[in-house]
Formats: sequence, C-alpha cells, structure tokens
Amino acid sequence: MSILKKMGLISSLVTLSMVVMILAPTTILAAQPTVNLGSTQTFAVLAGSTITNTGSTIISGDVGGDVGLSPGTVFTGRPDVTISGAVHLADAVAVQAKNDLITAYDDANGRTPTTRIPSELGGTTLTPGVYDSADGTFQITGKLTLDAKGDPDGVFIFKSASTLITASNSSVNLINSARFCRTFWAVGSSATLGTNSNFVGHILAMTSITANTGAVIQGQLLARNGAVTLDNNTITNGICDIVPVHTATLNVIKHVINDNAGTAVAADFKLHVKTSGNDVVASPAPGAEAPGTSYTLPAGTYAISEDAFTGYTASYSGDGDASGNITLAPGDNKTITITNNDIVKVTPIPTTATLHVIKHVINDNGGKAVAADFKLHVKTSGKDVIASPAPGAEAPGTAYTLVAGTYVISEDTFAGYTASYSGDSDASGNITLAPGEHKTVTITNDDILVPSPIVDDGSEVTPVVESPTTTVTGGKLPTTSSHMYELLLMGVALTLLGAVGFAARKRYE
Amino acid sequence: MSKFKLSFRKLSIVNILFLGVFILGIGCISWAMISIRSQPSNSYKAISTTPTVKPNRVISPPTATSDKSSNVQKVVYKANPMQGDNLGSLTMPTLKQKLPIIQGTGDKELKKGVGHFIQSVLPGEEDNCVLSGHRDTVFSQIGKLKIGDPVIVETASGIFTYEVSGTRIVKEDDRTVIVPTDSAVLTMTTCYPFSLIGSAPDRYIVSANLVGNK
Repeated sequence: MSILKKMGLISSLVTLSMVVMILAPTTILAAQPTVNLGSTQTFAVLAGSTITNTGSTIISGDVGGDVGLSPGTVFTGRPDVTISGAVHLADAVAVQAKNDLITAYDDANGRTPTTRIPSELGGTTLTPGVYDSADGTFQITGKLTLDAKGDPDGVFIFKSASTLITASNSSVNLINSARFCRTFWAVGSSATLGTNSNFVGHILAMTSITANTGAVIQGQLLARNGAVTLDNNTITNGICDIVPVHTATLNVIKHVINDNAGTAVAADFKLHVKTSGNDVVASPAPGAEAPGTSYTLPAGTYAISEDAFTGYTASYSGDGDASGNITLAPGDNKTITITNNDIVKVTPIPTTATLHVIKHVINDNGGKAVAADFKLHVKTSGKDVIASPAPGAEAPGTAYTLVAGTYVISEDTFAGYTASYSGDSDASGNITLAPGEHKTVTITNDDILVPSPIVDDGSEVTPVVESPTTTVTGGKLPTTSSHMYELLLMGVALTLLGAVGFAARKRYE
Repeated sequence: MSKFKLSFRKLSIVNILFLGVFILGIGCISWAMISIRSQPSNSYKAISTTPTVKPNRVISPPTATSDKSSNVQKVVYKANPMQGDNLGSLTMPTLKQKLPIIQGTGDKELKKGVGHFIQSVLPGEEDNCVLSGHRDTVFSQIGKLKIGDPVIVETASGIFTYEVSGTRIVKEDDRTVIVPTDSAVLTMTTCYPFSLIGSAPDRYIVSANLVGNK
C-alpha cells in the first residue's frame, strides 16, 4: 500500500511539474547579473604586496577613491599620488576588502556559459556575455568596442587564465548603454596596461597589475597577491548610476486554427522579431501558443513576422498593427498574436475514370487457353486507347485510366471459345464512363462443348469434334515439316565424317 | 575367333570413334529413308476407296450449297468425323498424286496423309475448307500446281472438283489464310521453302475454287 502511495505522490509531482513547464512563458533572455564587489567597491587601487608609483598619479571616484594594501605595507611614491579617498595599509578595512576581492574574483571566474573568442580583442565589437580565449590570454591592440544593445545592465565578463596586456594607445569604447561598472576582467596572473592606453572596467588580478606611463583607467585595479605599479596614471572609480528602465517586454503568441483538416502546430512556424531589418537576440524562434514567447527588448520599433507556411493564412492581432509592426516604450509589456488558419483544400474535380477489364476463361470442356492468350481491345471512336490492345488478365484484370466518355471493349477472335460480357458494360462491351467513376467489365470465354467421348472399336477413346458450319477467322496455319530431310542430311554428314576419318587414320598408321 | 580378337585389339580408340560416327550416320540415313518411305503412299492409279467416316456419329446440320456455282449440288455430311478419321482422298492429276485426307492437322494425322484443319468446313461445303500437308512428303510437289489445274476431293458425301485459282507465300503467323469465304474454296497449305533444312518461316498456299460436285 505504501508503495502505491509513493507512486501516486511521484506521479502527482511529475504531473504538477509538467503543468508548470507548460504554463510558464518561454523567456529567451537570461542576462548575467553583475559581480558583487562587496567592500572593494570603494577602492580604486587594492594590492597584496606593494604599491609603487612613479610620477604624478591621480586616484579619484564618486564611489570611492580609496587605496588599500594587505598584507603588504609598502606604498612607494605615495607623495606624488593625488588620492581622493582614504589609504588603508594592512588595516582591518584592507583585510576585509581583500577577502571580498577573493569572493568577487571567484564569482567572476566561475561564470558560465562562456563564449570562446580570439585572444586579440582589438578591432572587435562584443555584446554582453562571458568570454574566454583558447590560450588563456587577452590582448587589446587598437580599439575594443563593447555594445550593450541598449541594456545598461548588460554585463561583460572577460576570463583570462593568465595575462591581460593592452598595447600602447589602445582603448576600450563603450556604446549603446554599455557601462564600465558592468565590465569585469578576471585575470589569472597579471595585467599590464600599455602606455597612454585608455582602459575601462574592474581588473580582478590574481597576482599583479602594472599601469604603464599615462594609462587612463575608468574602474578599479584590484590585485589579490602581488603589487600594483603606477606611472603617471589617472584612475577614476566612478559611481555606477541606477539608470532608468529603457527596456520593454514583448510577448509573441502563435495561435493555430485547424478547422479544415490542417495538422500543423505552433512550433511548426518560425517567428522573427526584427529591428532595422535584423533579428534581435534569440530570434527567430519556433512559435508557441499562449502565453507565447517573451522577449526583453530595448524600447523601439519592431517588426514581427514568420516564415512562409503553405496551407495557412496569417493575421496579426493584439498591440501591433495588421502587418506585425509594434512600438515599445520603456517599461511596456505588450503582446502580439499571429493567428494561422488552415485553408480549405479544394479537391480537384476528376476528369478521368478508371476502367478495369477482366478476362475470365472457363475450361470445362478440355480447353487449355489462359487469360493471357486472348488479346483485348479498349477502343474509343474506333481507335485503341493507350496501352490497348493488351493480353487478357484474370481478376483484378487490367486497369485503364481514361478520359470520361464512351468506350468499346472487344477481343480478337479466338477459336474454340464463346465470349460473353458482364459487369458494367452492355452485352456488346459498350460502356460509358463518367468522371471519377470506377467501372469493371468482365469478358468470360468458355471453351466450346465437345460431345462425350465414344469408344472406338472398343479400345480407344477418341474425342468427337463437331464440324464447324463456318471456318474460323484468323486460324493459325499448321506446322507442316517432318524434319526427315534434316535427319537424312545429318546422316550423310556423319557417314562421310566417319569414313574420311577412318581412312585418314589408317593411312597415318 | 582369336584372329578377330587380334584385329580388334589393333583398333585404336580413334579408329573406334570414327567407326562409331560412320555407323551412326548410316543409322540416321536408314531411319530417315524408312520414315520417308513409310509416309502415305501415292495411290494415284489405284481405284479410289470409299471413305471410312463411320456411322452413329453426331449428325451435322446440312450446310448450304453455294449459289454462285450452278453445277455444284447440295452437300450433306451424315456424320461428323473424329480426329484421325480418314475423310477421303485428295487427287492432284497434274502431279499424279492421290493422297488420303485425315481429320486433324497434328503430327499423328500429318504422318498418315493430308490433314483437314478441324476448324474449317468439310470438303465440298460452302466456305473455306483447309487441307495441310508436310512439305517434304505429301505436299512436296504442290509448288508445281498452276492456275487452272484440277484438284479432286473424294469423300463420303461426294466427289468435289476444284480448280486452282492462285498460289501465294505468307509468313507462318499469317491470319488471313484461314478465314471464312463466301463460296466453296479449298485451301492447301504447307511449309515453305520446300528445300530449307530447319524450321520453315513461311507457308506456301494454294487456293482452289469448287467447280464440280458429283
């Protein structure tokens, strides 16, 4: 009994989970959350062993221009550094910040799914996501563009197993709402920023960070174990503003009506959500009945469409226009439904009919003929139709597909058999076919009655053949060769061969 | 005896082989000659005998006499012949041949004489009467018949005189020879060419019209 109860409970849970899965809307966008920096967020520079500065360096930021060092205590060149925040050298604040840095590093370094890209980032444009490279390094030579596609919360995480090196005068360019405070660099060993380079993002390095002469950093330089080396740099740890919502939600529902024997389902249709002629992220996608597929999109104008699907009409309803165009304002939650109705299939009116011609042979008087011995004709206007004449065939016979009309079925004369018509024709084999009809004509041939055998001279039974009152039409000419001449010629040849051979042999001996 | 054994031992296998071929050839010649000699004999000079169509057979309905020939009388066969029966005789004075007519055109019947094609009317009746014979025996000479030559058929129902009206050569599968005719016609068929060794591809046809009936 307890087993039965358990089975009932399990089946209930499975059913419930299936219902939840069916009812839950399909959400395509699964954005990465930002990395929690904890108490490190106020530090523009944080190091493990030492901080070394050369020249005039400016460290500031709305969030915090703090400088921290733990467990090291040596901050060389400090007098030349302009610091807007506090300096924590191996104090409790620095220790806590270092602990939070470890957590933040592990968080960033553990993010999935990861997209593998070439290690050289210069000259490329990337959208929010988690990236790594095959050789575990990243370089920036020239300009790297980060495109948030209008989402200010779009998070960029770059996971480098070993180094991050930017070339002199290289830069990172932020477009379409991309922000430095949502850009993270998890570096497995050390990071080096090139001379006069312009860098953006939070560097979370396992070992050390070196900023060469004139490098400008918008973000943080956080080194877990090693040193941070500065040289005439400007480091700004600005505030990450809470931006107003610029996105909207679009629900696209596919509804299929099969009231004319159609069999398609929503998932058979491929739906597109496009802006400026290009599919948005996660488009195209298979259709889904209500509640449909949900897209989180930047405010703007979009066109919803679907690939052509034969046998169905398409119509748009809901918040879009009749062509599937829709405008989304920030914060909107709109729905558009594409309804597909199957088209009435028009059955073509047949213009042809099918005629089956069956040949049936009855040999109840010693006849030997079979159906194929008879040659059958199907004629219209005195001419054979295609594939006529043809040898006869017992049921189901020979099928002809013919244009509707009147036809005559006949056969060549065959001696020794009577012929009669049955089925859908008249007694002479005439038949009329209407479009779409299936008719059958059977020609039955019965061998002619031979009177009972009579004992001849009390010993031999010989059949009596009724003498015909008329000669048959088209009788086969008898074979009238006895082959005796061939036998005679062969005998002469053999005799000559034997005689000549025997004589030659005797002479040889 | 010992001499014979000695000479036999001198014969090599090759000699025995040639000797065997020679004997086989003689055998073939003998068999062919005997078979040809045993074919129905020409009884041209002999007195014609009464045909052997036997009584107590199914009475055939009388057939009409040809109206087109005023000197032809009504033909009545009292009984249907059985396959293998002797219907009478066929006389070709030009060839000095008189041959028995047998009902049927199978191998057995054609060995006995001229065969009557069963699915044609009997001799003398209105319509097409078809007779067939071996090209190498009974009909080996019909190629010599000319238009106007007489052909006489004697049966139990009378003596019917035909006159050759034409000859022709057709393919073996020709279906225009054995067909009904409006008047009493005798059609004689045999294989052609006459001298060809092997299966003959053609047929030699002699047609004759009924001109007299006794």
